[in-house]
Amino acid sequence: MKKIMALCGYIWAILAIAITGYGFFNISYFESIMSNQIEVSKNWTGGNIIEVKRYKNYSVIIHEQVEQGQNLFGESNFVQVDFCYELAPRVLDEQIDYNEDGIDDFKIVIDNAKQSYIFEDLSNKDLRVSKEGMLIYEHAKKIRILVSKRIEE
Amino acid sequence: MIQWLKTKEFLFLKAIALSIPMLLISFVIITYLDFSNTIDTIAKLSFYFLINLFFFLSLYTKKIDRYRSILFILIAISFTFSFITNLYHLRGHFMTLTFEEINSCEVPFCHIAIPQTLLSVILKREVIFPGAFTGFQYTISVMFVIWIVVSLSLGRGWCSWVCFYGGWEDGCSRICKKPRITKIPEKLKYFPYAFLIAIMLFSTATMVPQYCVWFCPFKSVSEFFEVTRPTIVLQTMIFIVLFISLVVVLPILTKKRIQCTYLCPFGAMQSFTNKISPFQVSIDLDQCVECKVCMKACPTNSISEESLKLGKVTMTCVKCGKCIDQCPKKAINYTIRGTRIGNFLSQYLFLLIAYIVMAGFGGTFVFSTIRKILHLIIYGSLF
Repeated sequence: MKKIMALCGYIWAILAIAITGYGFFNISYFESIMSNQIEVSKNWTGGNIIEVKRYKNYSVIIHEQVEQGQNLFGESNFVQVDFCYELAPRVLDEQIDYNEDGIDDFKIVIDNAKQSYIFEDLSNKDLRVSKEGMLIYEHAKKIRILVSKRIEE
Repeated sequence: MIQWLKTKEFLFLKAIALSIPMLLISFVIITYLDFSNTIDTIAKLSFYFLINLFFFLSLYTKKIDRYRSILFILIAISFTFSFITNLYHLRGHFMTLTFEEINSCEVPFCHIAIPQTLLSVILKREVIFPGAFTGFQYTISVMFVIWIVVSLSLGRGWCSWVCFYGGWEDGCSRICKKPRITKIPEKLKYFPYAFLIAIMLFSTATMVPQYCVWFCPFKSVSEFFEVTRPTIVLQTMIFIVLFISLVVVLPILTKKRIQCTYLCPFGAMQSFTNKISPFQVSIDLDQCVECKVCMKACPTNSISEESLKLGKVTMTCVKCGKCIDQCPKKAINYTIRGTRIGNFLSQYLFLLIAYIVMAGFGGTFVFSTIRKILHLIIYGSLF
């Protein structure tokens, strides 16, 4: 019995060493497998992109609605909209249809000079800007706005 | 003939012969790194020489912890240096993490975030961390792959051979010759498990890695949130206090790795991987005289009176080898499960895989640091 246990021990040790070695030298292979199976939480990425509107000086990226937004204690789902540009236009005025029903749901007017924004709910869904509000990135190349929708809707 | 086998010459030749596999494997590892210029080549060969010298010395002198700890501390310092300088190179600012980087999912992922993200990965296939899977230097997928394969072979040995933060604490715990505090409440050993469960549940529920945000003391030597709000002031104060107390002061006073033993959720989780690792530290009861030197020496309090009587260490053992070095009767050694204690092959295989992992993972930071220092000396800049 002792000999069998010892043999099993050695086999397991050699296997573990082989797996470790194989894993180390084939990290990129496992990396690609993991990337296909697992994703970074939509709470961080903002979710899949459903539409990109391109204009002369800037583009608007609309993400799909993230269900169970924020967290279990959070109050809402959210939709994320990114404004991307090289040189910030003075005013950005955009109407967004986040649920792709052909009707604009909300309007955002961003005044880059004043670093402020106006949010207007065009639907009767009681949409509102999330507590994060408008995030202005360091180099002012991208602006992210989180829009909340109450769960009870 | 038998007498010659005990001579220093034979032991020297034996250690050289046994170092050959390490020489070959570590050479394959360094060929993965860039060889494009003289500085890189010098840095790479310096590191290659260093890791093989220490492996040889561990085999020849049978002092495992002595050489491991030097490399381990070197890796921790090198990691901090190379990480901070890399961040500066990439982002243009030191150590502070801006909201732009968080919202762009560009936060480097470290192994301590694994237990916090594990539940959501299992349940939802989502990582609740604003990091990247590919393309960035410290990616989620690479860290997960390394964690899985290393845990299989080393178990919680990760904490003394791989963790790029542990060296700070290990170094601090070696400053004083004798401990100033010798009594640590026994019940505290359960705290990290309770803390691990709480952190895992709370992180999954809030979809935010809460330990990283609120408690991680190693933000002091890597990166931390840009202080823009009162909440972040509080978070900053917490991690600074935890670093000073748990990583610097208490390890100096107790000669124990306090943060690793009593707080780190990753360390608590790794304790369970010790159950699947083929390597363990065992005590030969026939040779043990119960002098308890090992109990005092253990940096993670992994040898208790009960475990000593059973010839075992507890599952929190980090396999650092300190007890092996200090045992006056040479009664403690690495063993493969099911094999007899004192079997040289077990110790050799453990050291081989541990040094290979150290070379492949921690070695990149040492290499990067040597390269940058050489670049600074020759060209006057780090990059």
